[in-house]
Amino acid sequence: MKSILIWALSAVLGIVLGGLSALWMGGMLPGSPRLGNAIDIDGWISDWSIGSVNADPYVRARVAKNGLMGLTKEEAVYFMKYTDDAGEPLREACTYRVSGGAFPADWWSVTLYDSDNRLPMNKDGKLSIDQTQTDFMFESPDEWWFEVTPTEPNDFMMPWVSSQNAGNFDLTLRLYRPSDALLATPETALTPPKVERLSCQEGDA
Amino acid sequence: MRWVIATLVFAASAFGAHYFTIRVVPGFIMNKVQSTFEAQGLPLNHFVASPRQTPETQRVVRPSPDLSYAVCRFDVSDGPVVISAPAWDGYGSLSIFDGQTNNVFVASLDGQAASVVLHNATMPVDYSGDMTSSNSAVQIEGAGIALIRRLAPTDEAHQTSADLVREARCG
Repeated sequence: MKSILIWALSAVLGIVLGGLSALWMGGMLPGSPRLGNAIDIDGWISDWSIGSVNADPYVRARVAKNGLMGLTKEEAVYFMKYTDDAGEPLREACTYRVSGGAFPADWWSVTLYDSDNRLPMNKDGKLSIDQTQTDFMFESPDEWWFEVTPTEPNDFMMPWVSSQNAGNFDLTLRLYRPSDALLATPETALTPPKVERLSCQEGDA
Repeated sequence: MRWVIATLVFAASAFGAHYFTIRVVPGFIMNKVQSTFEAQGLPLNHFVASPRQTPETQRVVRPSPDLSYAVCRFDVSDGPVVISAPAWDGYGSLSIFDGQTNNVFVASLDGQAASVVLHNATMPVDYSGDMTSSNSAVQIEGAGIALIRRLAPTDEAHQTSADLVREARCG
């Protein structure tokens, strides 16, 4: 009788541990691995198997949780950046300057998401910057910039994305219809945007 | 011997639970999305234009505020489903997702319409006379989601895109 109880307890513990480990590796629990870390270019991370039927079950689970209805790499690739160029987490209390140039794709955008993978709850109407905006605002597609800040910049001409109510956040670079070169050798074909921390609110440097 | 068996039972249970859980997560989440869309009044076999993506209107994780979306819930269990979308002046795509979150079909809408016939394994379909511009057929099982994306970064462009939903087909 005692042996049966021990075996039953072993089975229960195994089921709990197996289930929790799957949820953790699938990105379902706090601190779980993030979606897309197979490619890392200056802290911008991605995974070419997003959306693919060939994605392993862990990537598929992370996509379901963090990037549902992501497209396959031939149509779009997604790069996420969770830290500034100094390696510090991106957070609402700080102001950042994001700058870059042209990308090897038909169209691009950069969007800010909070830690729940949502657009942050604010009414600033400044959720993203995309190529149509930079083409209009800058003389050359090879040089553009904007600020990420919780309040409107003093310079009213400065393009910006609002981090108000975002807490810790990430920036997601979408590249639609990427070039063959980008898909083949992303590390050499892509020069990702720079993310420089300009300042932080007092007491939160 | 008792503890050897206990260790084997533990290992087998952990492996089985891990494998089962990681396999069912995508389907579980897609079923939840289907249920949410249904509860929000999204009918089966009809494209519905989503409102412009804002913090208040977002329905799924990580929407792009620069795009307009039109969504259709479909189910091929009872027969083939024809999905089509009109052309768009700018970036646009028609994409199909199966019940496991896989992106099983995508076609460009930049200056050209796109269409696809979805059918299950037991009902191969003759689609030759039922297409608008392309000739694609995809085998899929059960329910899924069709999604039209169009670059529409302004209110005016978004409204123009939303009006095009009347020209899309899903059924």
